Amino acid sequence: MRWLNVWTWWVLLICGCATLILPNIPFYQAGMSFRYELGGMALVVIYLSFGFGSLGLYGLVMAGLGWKLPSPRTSKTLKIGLAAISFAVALVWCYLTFMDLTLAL
Amino acid sequence: MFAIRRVPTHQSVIESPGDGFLCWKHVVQAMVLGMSVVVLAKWGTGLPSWQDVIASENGPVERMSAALWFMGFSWSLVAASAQRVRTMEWLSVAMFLLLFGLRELDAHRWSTGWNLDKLANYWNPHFPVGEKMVVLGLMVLPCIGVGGLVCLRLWQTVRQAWRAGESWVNHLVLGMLLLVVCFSLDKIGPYTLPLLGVSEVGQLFAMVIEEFLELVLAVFTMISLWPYLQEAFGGYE
Repeated sequence: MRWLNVWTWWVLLICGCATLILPNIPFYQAGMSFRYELGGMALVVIYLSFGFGSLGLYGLVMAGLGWKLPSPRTSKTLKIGLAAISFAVALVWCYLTFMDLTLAL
Repeated sequence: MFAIRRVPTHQSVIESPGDGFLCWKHVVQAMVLGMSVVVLAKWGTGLPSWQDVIASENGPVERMSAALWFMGFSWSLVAASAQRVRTMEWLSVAMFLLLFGLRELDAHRWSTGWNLDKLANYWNPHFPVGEKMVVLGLMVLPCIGVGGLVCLRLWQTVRQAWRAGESWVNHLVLGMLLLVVCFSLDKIGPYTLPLLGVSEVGQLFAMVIEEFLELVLAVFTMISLWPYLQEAFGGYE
């Protein structure tokens, strides 16, 4: 499973998500007054969640690969991965909140 | 900066002093991957022309560049927490990557309603003076101040690393060169190319090159940061 630990796959993963998933996520930026540009903030937040999501996924995958050989390194990686995933989920929640506020305007 | 004590898988990247070959190899890798993802993006999105894929606002290439900058930002934060002796430097790197990502998403434009990095806007009577003062006081001047302090701190680290012959300096220099080329094509190109008599097709080609090089720069940055991110996770075989 060493091939999973190559930068190429992770760059390809994020590029694939940005190309295929992001266009389907609404952010209502166009036509909004600049004072209420919550749509733009929602866009930034969803990009940030992609960054932390990739970090969390990497942590979980690497911790999973090292699971059979427990070591402080594995638990550290697992902690980083879970923290990053939690942060990504929190950012998605922020995105949904921004979208609710945008639609309520 | 980025003093690494133990990285089993990427030892050559970190400990080979002044390895210019590795740096160029990474540029070539970034270009090959950049071309591959552009082809995949055209195939995946089904957009009719290459121009729509590469040179359009909020198009696939721009989205990929932004996503990679934000990816680099989040990964650099982990490196900052892992390398406590270099936390400030890593946080500075993270801040720069975040700014690049925000710039790619045109956050400087939609956050104010007008393009704050276009100097002519500051004496454009259509925008209220109070709004300009708010932008200058709360955004531009603080960014210049903080950026100056960060650059000063980073500069000392870069100078020490240059003297020590650390290989990451080559990556930094090449990355800066790519950045200057992109910035020149983005800011100077639209004004100078018509004056030089370059046709519209030529100008479009310059725009395509600029967007593609921005993607290459983002990929190159991720490749350069990868060993340090691995170190943050403890170094995996």
